[in-house]
Parts: sequence; C-alpha cells; structure tokens
Amino acid sequence: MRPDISSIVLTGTYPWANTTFDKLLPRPLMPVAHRPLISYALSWLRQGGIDRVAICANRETRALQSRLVHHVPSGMTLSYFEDPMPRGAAGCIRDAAMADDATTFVVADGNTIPIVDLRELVVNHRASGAAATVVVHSESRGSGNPGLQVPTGIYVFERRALETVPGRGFYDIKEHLIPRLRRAGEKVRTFSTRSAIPRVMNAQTYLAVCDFVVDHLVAAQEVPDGYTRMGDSLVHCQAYVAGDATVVGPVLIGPGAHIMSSATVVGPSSLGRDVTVASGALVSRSVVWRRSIIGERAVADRCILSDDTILDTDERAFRTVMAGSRASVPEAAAAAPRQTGMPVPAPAFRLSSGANRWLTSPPWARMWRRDAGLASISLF
Amino acid sequence: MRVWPVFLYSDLQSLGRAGQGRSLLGLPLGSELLVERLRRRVRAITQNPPMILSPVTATADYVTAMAAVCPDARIICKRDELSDALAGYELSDVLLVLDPRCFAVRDRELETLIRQFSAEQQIAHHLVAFETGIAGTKEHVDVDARGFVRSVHRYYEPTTWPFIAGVCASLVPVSTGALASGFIPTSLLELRQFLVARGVSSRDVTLEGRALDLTKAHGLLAATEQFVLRVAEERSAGQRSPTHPDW
Repeated sequence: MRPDISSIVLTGTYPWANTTFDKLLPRPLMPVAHRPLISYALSWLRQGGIDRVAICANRETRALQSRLVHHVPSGMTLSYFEDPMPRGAAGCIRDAAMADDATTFVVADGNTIPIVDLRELVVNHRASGAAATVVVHSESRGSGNPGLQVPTGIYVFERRALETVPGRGFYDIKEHLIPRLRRAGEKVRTFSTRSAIPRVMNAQTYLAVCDFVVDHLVAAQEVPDGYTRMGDSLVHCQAYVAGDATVVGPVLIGPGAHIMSSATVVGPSSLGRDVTVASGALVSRSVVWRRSIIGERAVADRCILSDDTILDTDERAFRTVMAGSRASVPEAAAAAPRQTGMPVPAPAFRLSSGANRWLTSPPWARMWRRDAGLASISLF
Repeated sequence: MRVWPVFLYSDLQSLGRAGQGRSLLGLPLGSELLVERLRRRVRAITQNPPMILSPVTATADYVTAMAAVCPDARIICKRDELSDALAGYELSDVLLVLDPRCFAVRDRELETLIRQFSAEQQIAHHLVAFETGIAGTKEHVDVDARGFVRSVHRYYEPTTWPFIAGVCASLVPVSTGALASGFIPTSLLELRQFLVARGVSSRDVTLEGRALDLTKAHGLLAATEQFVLRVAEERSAGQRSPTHPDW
C-alpha cells in the first residue's frame, strides 16, 4: 500500500458505430467471464499495491456505482468523478487528480484487461524521472512495413504533469498534454509490454477479450470459488449438465445454467447465470449473458447473446449480437425445468461418471486463439 | 488483349511441421482445393489455361498433384521454361498473376482489376489489400533519438493510413518483359518492386472487400469459415436467418 500513488480509471467510450453491441450495456460493465470488464482493471491495480481509485465515468457514473458494488477488491476505496462538461481524457484525469494528494497517478482504461507488471512499471517510471510514461506494445507488421509502438491506454503521470492541464475546456492526452509536456522540456518515456493489452472496442474485440480471459482462467492452476474443473472447462457447482451433453473446452458455465440432453457447447465460450442450452442445441465460440435460452436444436456460433435473449427452436445465429427480452418463447424454453417449475436436479451440477464428454482442445488451438484472438481475427 | 493467368507458388512453412513441403495451392478450402477456387475465379475473366510457377525444388509428386487438379495448367519449375512459355505471347497480351497468400474474400474482385486495366493497358495494375485495424484507427507513439516521446499519432484508415498488407493479383503487360527474363517472383510484392525498379509504371487498385492472409493459421481458418457460412446461407436461402453481423 503506497499512499503516494493513486489511480484513475477512464471508462468513457466512443461508440464508433451505432451497433446492437454498443446499445447493450456501458462497455466497462459488460460481463467478461462473469465479471464486469472494469473489475479486471481494479483487480490489477489492487494487486499492484494501489488502494485508491477514482473512476471517471461521467454519464455512466450511476450505472457503474450501482453495479460495481460487489466487484471492488478488498481494501480498495473507489470514488467517482463526473465532469459537467466534456473535458477530454487529460482534463478528466487532472480534475480527479486534484482531489487526491498523491504524487504519482497510474491511469488505466476501464475497457481493457491490463496485463502489465504494475510494480515494475512504477519503479521504471520513477527511476526515469519522467513526468509521464506511456505504456506501449510493439506491433510487428508484415509486407516489410515498419513496426508500430502502439499505446495501450495505460499511463503513469507525475502530479506536476497534470498540474499543467488547464482547469477548464477540453484537453486530450495525446493531442494536448504530451505535446505540451515536450514543449516544456519534460521527459515523457515509454514502457514496453511484451504482449498487446486486450481492449474491448466492438463486438469482435469483446469476443476476443472473452476468449482470452476464459482461456487463461481455465488454464490457471487456481479454480475460482464455487467452480469445478471438468476437462478444459470450469463449471459452477450450481449448474446442471445433462449426462449426454458434450462440452469442448475451454468453457465457463455459470451458476444455475442448464446444459440439457444432447446439447453441445464448444469453447471458448462462457454461459452466464441461469442460461439454458436446450436439448440438441449447439453453442460455440460465444458469450451468453444471464438468463438467456438457446432453444432446442438452435445453433449460436460466434455470437453475443445479452441478458434474457431467446434463440428460438431450430434458429441459427452466426456472428450475431442479440439483445434480450424477445417476445416469443420457444417450446424448448417452455420445456426447460426452470421455465416450468420442474425441480432442478439437486445438487444442480451433476457429475455423470463419464457419460458427459468433456473434451479438451489441443495445445495448437490455444496458441492460435492467443495469437489470433487479440489481433484482428480475420484480416491482416 | 489476351489474358494469361499465372499462379504463384507458396508453401505452408508458416504452419510449422504440418505445413512442411506442402503447397498452399493444394490446400483444401471447403469442398475444393485453393487452386481450384482460383481457377474458378480466373475463368470468369479468361478461358486461357494457367501457368503455375513452382520452385526448382518442386517434387514430382507436387507436379503430379497440380496436374491432376488443373489438367490444362502448364507447370513451370525452371527459368528457361518460363522464358519459353512467354515467348509465344503477343506484346499486347497481359499476365494475370495471382498470389494465393493474399486471398480476396469476394469472388468478383478480379473483374474490377480488369476493368481498371482496360483503361490504361500500358500500366501494370496491382490489386492491393490495405492493412486494417479495429474500429478503423491505429495509434503510434513517435519516439525521438533519446527515447523520449515526441508525439502520439492517430491514423484513420480511410484517410491517413497508407500501408498495404499484401497484393492479391497483378495484371502485368507482356510488353514489360517482366517475367520474360526468367525472373520468378516469390510474391507479388516482390514483382511490384521489380517493376518499379525496371521503370514500369504501376497503379494500385484497392480491394473492395476483405483479404485474408493464408500463410497464417487464422487466415486459413477464416477462409474456411467464410466458405462454410456462404454454403450454409445458400442452402438456407428463403429461410429465416438471424444473421446480422455486427462486425
């Protein structure tokens, strides 16, 4: 715990396109492996020894305040900062920093999964004497083109750097603050990470980030509380998996989820709380939020199904984002135990003495997901 | 003007042990081989048989396999063979050279290239795929000689991003003599540079759709997935389909 270091998490997002995905939920609250995306940044800061975090959420402040209650790491104090007028990233950081007496500020993007060694970053920053450090990732490019030093959305600022930001008006980090520091003769350094920082920018990157986290969660030695490892998958103890269902990992199955008879789930996938995959249905490479129902023999491949989505019987969805609360209730949904009030087998998660097929994916598949998932998946 | 298709050779070394000694052209893509897919695309342009440029080290098995799937193709393994083949062409003819590594997703991109070429037949034309990123922007930290950040550039792909990722196809007038000397390019990027060095004027034509890098595992998988999805859509034509891609 270092009282001289504090953190500011930026959660503002710009909807690049008016897609279904952008309308689902504020991006920092989107579930990634059953946790809000922003909670990964908070955990990263806490593990790095930082216990005070100001969240600049602006119009999303209320939504974040109400939903983050259960995801604040132990020992961390959160405060929220809301600017009445658009201030830009540097303006928001400055305003939040002036309310804190720390001398060094770690700034993180709440839409990322930070995987940088935070302690090493801070030590490096302080040793350099720089007013600011920009965390970058080296991106190699083909066709003989020069590589890029890509900013990751993580910065470290000294207080003196932020004090140069005007108290009013729009002020950006890249367009205003960094050039101003350079003109003032202040040092701004880079800190290179070994790998790209997963960041949610659209539906495609959201799926890639979920793949990344599910993959790492399943590969980790430690099993999260309440979950049991089955093959390459993690299944909550309150989930039900039929004896003849097939699960090809890595798959994360949440509490109250039902994988019915002869259903198939192919990873990387995560099924949220109280999701039902009806008989004969297939869910592959998808993220299913809470209480959604995949009807009998329905297929969802590379999909995002938000809360309370119903995929009708025999319906097929490929690379689709579906918002919930659809009117029609398919037969499969009606037949599911949760819908009809039929008793859910207890304990809900059933080990089926080998009847289930818990299949593991080969090592090359994991490597491919790692390499392809965080970059643009299908393009150069 | 007669168009003569030429397919470049590429191996699958980037796939590691699984790709050793295997030709990209012979790779299955859905229910057909890649060379058959390319052949089908070229048939929409010309019925002339293709040349398949192969390395000197090409094995007899490879030549046999290519001949089996492309019976009318002329498989060239030596420089002299290439020079001899081109000697029979008219100066007004044009070579349509395809690089299987840079695979255009849409089938009809070659027709756009031909259309552009028809207006300027003395100039080589290249069908290029631009690098694309997420959400259409790229950022780059510019560092000075002392290691201090000078600025952070934000590129917007449609306006300020100038770099291409690859060349899918090139239309090269025979009159340029580009391949007549026996020069066998390993890629269309190399051919493009070769033409510039020889003083041949070139024009890049931007791909309208996407391109996939078939030297990478994820590119191959994406190409296969795209093929399967298209077949599935064709089969379910007229049925309700909830597919409405957000990306």
